[in-house]
Amino acid sequence: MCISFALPIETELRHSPRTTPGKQSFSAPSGKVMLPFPLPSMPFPFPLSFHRLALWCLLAAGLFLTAAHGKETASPDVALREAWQLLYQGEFDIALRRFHSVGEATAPGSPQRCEALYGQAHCWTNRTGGRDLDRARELYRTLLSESPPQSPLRPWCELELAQIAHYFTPLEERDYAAIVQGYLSVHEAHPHSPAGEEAFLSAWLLKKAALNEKPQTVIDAALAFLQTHPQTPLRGQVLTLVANSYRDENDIQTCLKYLIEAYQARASLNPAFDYSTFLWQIASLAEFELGDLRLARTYYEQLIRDYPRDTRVFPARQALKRIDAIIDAVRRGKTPPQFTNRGEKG
Amino acid sequence: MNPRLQRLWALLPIVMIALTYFWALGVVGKRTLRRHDSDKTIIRIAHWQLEAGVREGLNEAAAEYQKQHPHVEIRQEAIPESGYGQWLSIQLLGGTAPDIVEIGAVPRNLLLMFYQRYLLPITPYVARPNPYNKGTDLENEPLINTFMDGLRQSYIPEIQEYMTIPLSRMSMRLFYNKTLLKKLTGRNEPPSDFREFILMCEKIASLSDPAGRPYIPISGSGYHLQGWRMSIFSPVTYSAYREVDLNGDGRVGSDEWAIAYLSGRISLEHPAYKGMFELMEEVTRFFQQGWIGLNRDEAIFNFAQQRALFISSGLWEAGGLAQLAEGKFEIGIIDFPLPGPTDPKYGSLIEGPRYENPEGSVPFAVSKTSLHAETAVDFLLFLASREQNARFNARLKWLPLIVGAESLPELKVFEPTLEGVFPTFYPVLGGESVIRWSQLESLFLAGQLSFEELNRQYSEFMRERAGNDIAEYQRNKIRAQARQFSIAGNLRSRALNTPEPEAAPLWKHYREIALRAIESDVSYFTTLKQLNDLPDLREKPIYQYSGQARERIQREFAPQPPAKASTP
Repeated sequence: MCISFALPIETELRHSPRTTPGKQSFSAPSGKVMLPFPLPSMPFPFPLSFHRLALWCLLAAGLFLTAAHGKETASPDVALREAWQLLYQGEFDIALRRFHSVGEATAPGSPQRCEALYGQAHCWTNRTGGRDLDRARELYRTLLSESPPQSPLRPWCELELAQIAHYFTPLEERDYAAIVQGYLSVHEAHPHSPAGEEAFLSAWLLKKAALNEKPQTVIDAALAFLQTHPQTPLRGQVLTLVANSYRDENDIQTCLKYLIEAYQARASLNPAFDYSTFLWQIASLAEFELGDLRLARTYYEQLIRDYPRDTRVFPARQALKRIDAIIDAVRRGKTPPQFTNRGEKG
Repeated sequence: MNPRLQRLWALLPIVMIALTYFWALGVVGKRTLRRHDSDKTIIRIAHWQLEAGVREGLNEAAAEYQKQHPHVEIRQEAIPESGYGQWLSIQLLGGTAPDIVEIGAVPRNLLLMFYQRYLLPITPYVARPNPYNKGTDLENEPLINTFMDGLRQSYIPEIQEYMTIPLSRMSMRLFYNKTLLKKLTGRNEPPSDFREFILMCEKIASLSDPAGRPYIPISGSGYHLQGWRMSIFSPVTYSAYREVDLNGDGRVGSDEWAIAYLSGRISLEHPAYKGMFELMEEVTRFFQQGWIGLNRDEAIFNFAQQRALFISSGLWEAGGLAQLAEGKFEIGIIDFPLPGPTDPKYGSLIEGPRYENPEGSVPFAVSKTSLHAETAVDFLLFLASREQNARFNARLKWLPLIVGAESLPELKVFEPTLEGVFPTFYPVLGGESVIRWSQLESLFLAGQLSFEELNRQYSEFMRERAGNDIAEYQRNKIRAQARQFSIAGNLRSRALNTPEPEAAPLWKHYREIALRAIESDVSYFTTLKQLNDLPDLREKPIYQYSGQARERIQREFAPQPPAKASTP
């Protein structure tokens, strides 16, 4: 609506020969408005009053439509739901206003106020244009200071603060020790919440990768975590961390044991996920590192069966032929050529 | 001028604007009214497939669907490919997108945003059977298993959702002028054996047309090289994966390749890579002179003018080539003549047929603003039923994507090979290496740089610059963390705002992607360690039997000596 009545004014300022810079007026001195077209010598065919009337009508219509469109809903819960929907559609500004109005209208510490603060923080963090991390941090902190200790949003707020400190710091300026400490603090404060569990895993993944933590220390911490969190949905990921640490220790037998457990834990929780890489790694480690050809065969066959269009089906079939050839050679008392060269054409 | 006339003249632009405004209002209003007030459920489907037959094929399918669902009306909007991306973005952002849209023509980062905000995941449908497969052996199969590609392309790992339903498959083959082949060689079909193919090309190159111009065995261009590269040149590099797959996941990434190169595990002189360059030289010498500077249309022109015998092309272009040839010559199609295992030069490098990606194309998604999303998905399921998919693709002469859907007999040659060797040659990592490699390869292909010189200059470049490119590659991954954080954050807030049990699958998805951003840190530090440890990496055994493995195999499978007879 703004554009529709601003346009003639702008056009007039641009084209009217009677308007000089610094002396801009919305109407010509004669009381007639100039045309918004390059016909400067022709007067407007109607008196100004008609034009004004039209503008007023447009303005009234605009106000009416805006009022109708922006009709606020009474219930904070409904308003919050709408605000989240707007946020998911990328309408961050409108969502922010909705969250803000709910926050203003509800009592500090109430679940709606907490959610409104969380929503606003979420808007400021996740919008790509106009992201404002300082405001987001401030909102998260307000939420933490206002919300009751049992609020389910508290652990997530703390985790998001730790993640902001991690992901939004340029690589060159990252202090990984501090980042790890941030995650560990979240875990210590909320050890049995989903956010705390995620923080634990984040911390130890970074400790292993960025701070060169000893593999055995990682293994001990991860296994202790699994003992205290037997039902964690992150079991598969934690077991993968354990397996990788055993691999760093060059203990392939134990690495494989945990890798299989990790695969089983994850596949049982989320069967739709693509586990072809797990299957390949288990099979090839069993074959080349341990010489457990039966285990290798099981997992190569599973890869072929479960992921028939995967690029690794062909090398998996080559592996099965290779395993047969090796067993055959060894049974005949010969040294398989595959033991000494890498020309593995099946 | 008469003052009255003058006044009318002055009014003319306003009248014109008013008329245009009311006309536009009328069109939009009519559409809106039809959309809202019609007794029928109207489903709009938009795509950029302007090839002959696509619109007719969709209309036929729509008519068939409407017979079964008289209350539904399907309307299609075909948008030119050049403007489709922009059009799609505007429609989605403006909330005016058709119910079903073809997905593509926009950068991936934008697509990810569209998937999250404006398009409906089809995940809930992938585990259910397609009702339109009733009465077939797919009747009880989950939707995902009815697609030959297992809906792999539809699954978006960043958001852990299936988003699209593709309808066809494509592949690249070698097209030839059958009439000219008969005239020049007396053969009805070109040889499938690589050596014989080369001999035939030599013969063709020695012949001239009536105007005295030599025939061109293969019409090539920078665009057409890709077909040859994917189908013949790259597959010979397969065996090198046993040197390059540093993380043992059975795949080769460009960062892995660069590190393997820097460590000295591989070089361009590796038999697999050297073989590839020799093969490139051997084949591209039959392309026309100056091919490297030609574009796609110029190469097609040579083929259409019957100056060239062969051209590499995709199924999507088959109709266009047939039109060009109509009334002039007959077109034949063969698979690329990949050297066989008995080839004297490349036989040792060929471990099997080449793997062709079976991923579905022509993917459609349903917009979140659709008033009839269920019906829109239902229509897509109808198109993805075995019978309709076979019929739709038969009309377009494309390959169907549904398991058991018969393709036309003449398209058998396009059937992709789903098991085979894959390429392992990734000489560029982005940044400077892209430019440098493109210069060096062009000079090599133009015959201005020998293989030895290519190897020397590339090696020099890699020693000086590869470290920077690898670091930049990793830094780019780190930069993507903010986006990954946002995607995970959105999913988390959705899960938090959804009551159980509906929240459970959201949490499941969230957990799979929540830690993806940290993987970039892990990958970065792993790469740093590898770069600091290149001599060790050079010696690291990959896909080799360890001493422990050899011992165990001997112990388990060696023939046991016959048990000694017990002495009384």
